[in-house]
Amino acid sequence: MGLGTSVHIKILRGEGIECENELKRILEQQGHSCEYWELPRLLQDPEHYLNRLNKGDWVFLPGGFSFADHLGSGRLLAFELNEIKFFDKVFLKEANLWGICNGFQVLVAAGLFGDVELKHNEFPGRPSIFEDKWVKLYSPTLREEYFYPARHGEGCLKLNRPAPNTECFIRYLDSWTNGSDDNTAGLIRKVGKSTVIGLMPHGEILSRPEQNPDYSFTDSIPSHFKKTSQGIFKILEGEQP
Amino acid sequence: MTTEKLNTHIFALKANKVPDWKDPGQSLSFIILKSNDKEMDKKIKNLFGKDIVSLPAAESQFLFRCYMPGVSNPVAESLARVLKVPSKNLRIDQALEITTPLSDTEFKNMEALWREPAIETLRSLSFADYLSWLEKLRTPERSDNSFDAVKPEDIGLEFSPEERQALDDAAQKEGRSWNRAEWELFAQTWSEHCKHKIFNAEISLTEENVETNSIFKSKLRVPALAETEKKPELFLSLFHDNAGVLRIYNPAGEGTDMAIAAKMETHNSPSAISPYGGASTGVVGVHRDILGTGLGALPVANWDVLCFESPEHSADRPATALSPEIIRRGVLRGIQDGGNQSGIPTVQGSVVFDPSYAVKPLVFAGALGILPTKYVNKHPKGGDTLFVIGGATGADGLRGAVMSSRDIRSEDFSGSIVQVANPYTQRCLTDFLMEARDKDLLTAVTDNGAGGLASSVGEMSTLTGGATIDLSNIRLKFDGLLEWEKLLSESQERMTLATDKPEELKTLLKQWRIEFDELGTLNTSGRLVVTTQNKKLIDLSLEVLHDLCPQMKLKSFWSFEKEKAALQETRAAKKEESLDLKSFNTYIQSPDWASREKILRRFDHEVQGRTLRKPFAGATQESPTEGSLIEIPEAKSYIALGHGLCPKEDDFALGLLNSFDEAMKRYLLSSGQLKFAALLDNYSWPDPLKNDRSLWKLELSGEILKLITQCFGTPFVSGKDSMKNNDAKFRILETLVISVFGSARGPEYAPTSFFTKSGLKIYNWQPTPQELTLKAESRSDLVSKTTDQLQKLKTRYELIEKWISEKKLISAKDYSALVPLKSLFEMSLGRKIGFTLNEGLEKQLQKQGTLGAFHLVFDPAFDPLSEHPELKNELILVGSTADNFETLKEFRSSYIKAGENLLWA
Repeated sequence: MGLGTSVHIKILRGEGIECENELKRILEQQGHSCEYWELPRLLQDPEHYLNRLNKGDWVFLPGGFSFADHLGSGRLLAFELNEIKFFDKVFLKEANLWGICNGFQVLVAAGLFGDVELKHNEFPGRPSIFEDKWVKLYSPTLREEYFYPARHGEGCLKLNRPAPNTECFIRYLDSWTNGSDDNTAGLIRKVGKSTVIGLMPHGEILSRPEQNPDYSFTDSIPSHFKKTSQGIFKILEGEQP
Repeated sequence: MTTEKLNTHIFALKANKVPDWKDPGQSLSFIILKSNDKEMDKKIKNLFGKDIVSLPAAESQFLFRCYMPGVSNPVAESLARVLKVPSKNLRIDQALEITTPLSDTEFKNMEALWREPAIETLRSLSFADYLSWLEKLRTPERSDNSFDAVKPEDIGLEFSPEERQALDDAAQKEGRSWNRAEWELFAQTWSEHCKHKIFNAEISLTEENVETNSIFKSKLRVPALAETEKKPELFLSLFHDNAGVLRIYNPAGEGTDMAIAAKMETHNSPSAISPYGGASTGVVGVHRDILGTGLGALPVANWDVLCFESPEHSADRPATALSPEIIRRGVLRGIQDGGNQSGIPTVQGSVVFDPSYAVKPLVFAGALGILPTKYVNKHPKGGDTLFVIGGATGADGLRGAVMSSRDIRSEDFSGSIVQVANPYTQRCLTDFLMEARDKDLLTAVTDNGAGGLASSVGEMSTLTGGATIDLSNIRLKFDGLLEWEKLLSESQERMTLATDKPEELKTLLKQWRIEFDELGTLNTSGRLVVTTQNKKLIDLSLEVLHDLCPQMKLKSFWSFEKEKAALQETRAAKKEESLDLKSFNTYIQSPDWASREKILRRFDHEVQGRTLRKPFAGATQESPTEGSLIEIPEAKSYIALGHGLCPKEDDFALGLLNSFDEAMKRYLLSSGQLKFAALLDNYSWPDPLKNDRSLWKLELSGEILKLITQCFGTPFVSGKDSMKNNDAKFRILETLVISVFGSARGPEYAPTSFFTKSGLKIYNWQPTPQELTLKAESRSDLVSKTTDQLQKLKTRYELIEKWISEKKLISAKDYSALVPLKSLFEMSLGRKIGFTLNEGLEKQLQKQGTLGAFHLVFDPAFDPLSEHPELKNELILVGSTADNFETLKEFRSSYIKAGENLLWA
């Protein structure tokens, strides 16, 4: 399905990360080559892994509950990665970073988007707890609409003083809101020659149209699926020089 | 032992609020950490940045919320891991500043609002007093009588006279007395919880000349083995492992080289005492059963059944029972963390309300897992090395197996029976285990649950015929543990492994940062030997430990006649009210009928990306679905799952059929195939030893499950029974959850649970006749009428499956409540498509029962009645779908809103 511009992708797993398999599935379906980097191994021997990272590669931090969200989502894993200067080294290699859900929380906790926070959801008029629901989204970067599940408890994005070059990557479109500033559901930022993306909803799930909760076999495959089957990850191809 | 003096570091942080705890204000977290790491202060500052606040003045008053001594705090464990200090050198307590001292009532209110019962304790102290209290918190000096010969009654253990006799005889044969540790081991191994003594008892129904020698063996095991003999390729492992295992078949009907394991657990007693701890350990515990199946299966789905006290219940209830709100809040949060933090989707569930669940809430936690068929069997050999990996051993869960087999609020109960789950630790274990399995490093694996190491090593030793382990150097969370406690501690997130490649295994463990203890070896000595500090703690023959427990003999004087008379009396006392639209609107706001959407949404139901049929569907995501459909890309196949329970049906036999019918309909409508299906039985019963009628019902239930197995060729491959759900005065309804799982056709066959467009005909397949007990003349007549009913259901199921395989069914739903209108209403919610009815509403508002009943929407090109004229009296065209949803809008908002209140109120 890819347009011949496949990229090399490293997917972090372990330490409570949960969504690595479905992420690998959709990215491979789109023609990219993926390898897992197990965090416990990476943290004990970072150079072994970073030496294999090349310019233009992408490092993904999938969703999940790293360290069970203890003491603030993403915080403990961000601390461990900062201890080995992981992010600095990724930028030094001119590679790119993409965090989804808990991965986004890790990037925020690591300070990569400046002074922004992902706080407990603020649902209007109902308990602000974890919620799993599909929501409509619009990406100003890709100029497309998407329909993905939001599955988080701490997704209320507060843009206090974002780092320079930080832009809205995607926003919640319909009435669903978790209290985020400007309904922002994701951020994109240029750091030197690297790109950093943070995405709250789980774009990786839509590897087949039957995932859509409104699916019926009597409907023709929704015309938007062809487009969204590449979905939000289309940007990986666009990013190639 | 090192006695190096460590520096103490104290930090105060702004705490992260728990959103469903009504925190009365901004609380602080105090971190108290002992370490000589010179960088420690800097690390903490890097970690918490602007959340760090200055330490309060010594005289500031706080309400401290602290973990009870000996109970592990998962948050402190995570921080300790990151900071690389032993977790016993770090504690975290929450604190709320208070300006005026709290009155007793205020303190009690705060206890109800702000701490987890049995896990946390509240203390009102000044900051200075808190610090000096911490200084005094030392390991208590306890004398260890683990090695001493004692009498079981002196250490609070109970054995029946027959059991005691058997053990005394065995001791005499060995020529010595049992020591404390051995008595504790017997009490655990022979507990109702582990040995299922009631399910294995000899039961005689004296009034009816019925003798049943072990419900488990005669009603479940023997009929199941008869089926497995017919289909050995499908049924790969039954009864002897931690879960039942079936081969997965692809949609073309070909066997694959992947298998599915299924298991459901009950965690009622712990949830009654500590709702959060009990429910979360229930979920995480059943995952360990799956991880410990074969050489390790990967959990891919959860389903949970929760039975709560009705929220409005105000009549007499046990004085010591926690309030229904505290139970509900804790249990729901426990299920949420147990599933979400483990990365295992919660794909379906039920919530049932009844006043009787005041005595104990019921928490049934089920899990499905997958594994390659080549790893279905364990194959340990003498000489293999034993490891316990994961969490360290602590004081949590001591005597849990013994206690859950008794009345939970008996005098000798102590808080330490409750455990705390740490799903994160287990997730890390899971990642490691899958790699170890795939590298062929394991010869056996099993979980540590009830009974701890004694149980896991005990079980594994039976595979080779013996084991010797040494507890001298195992990792402890808590230094004060007695030797017998190390053996029996039920600390969570531990797995026991056997390997013939110990060095490779250790290397892999270190790579994954998994902590471990090397325990000893398996052998063929016929004995379980446990040593510690160079002394023998346990030295028992496996035969004495596992085979000597005498069979229980039970009698019930209850009979079919008495049951029928009792039922007639109940029915006479009941007012059968008919519904109108106004009362329908009231009903859909009642706890029994309100939407479960908001409850289920707090459980991630699609992590892993396998859940093709989610709990709620349609463009609105509001139409409740029937069953679950789970993709197994590893086998290019699908699994369907359904469950059912009907404890509130007063006709007991009918209730059991309804439970099975509900489960099977959900399975079929998710495109599950009958020929690949298997069942699970999960009992929660009031003590049958104390109630004749409950024992009679237990025996009859076994008979009905046997009939189901024989009629459908679907064996019960795994089950669980919890038998002590009562106190001296109160008892729960007899509750049996039946689950169905197996290979499915896939999403392109499964009908939707919602109307897809307007103008389509709606058929009502009317329930089969709804009386069993009242129509029957005798027990044997009841059995034969039940068999007839099962045959009728089978004919329907086969036709439904045929229609699904031919893609004739666009939408289909069973009745979830007694009136058909509820099901039509729920089908409307998905795409906001209403319906018109041919005969007006009255008929759809009549209570009809649910057995075998469906609402069906067919492909318009297909006329079911011309194909099946024999159905004309039961398959009734009731109306059509229509664009008139606005007539249902009001119902929708009350139904959804009432469901939200169940979560929160």
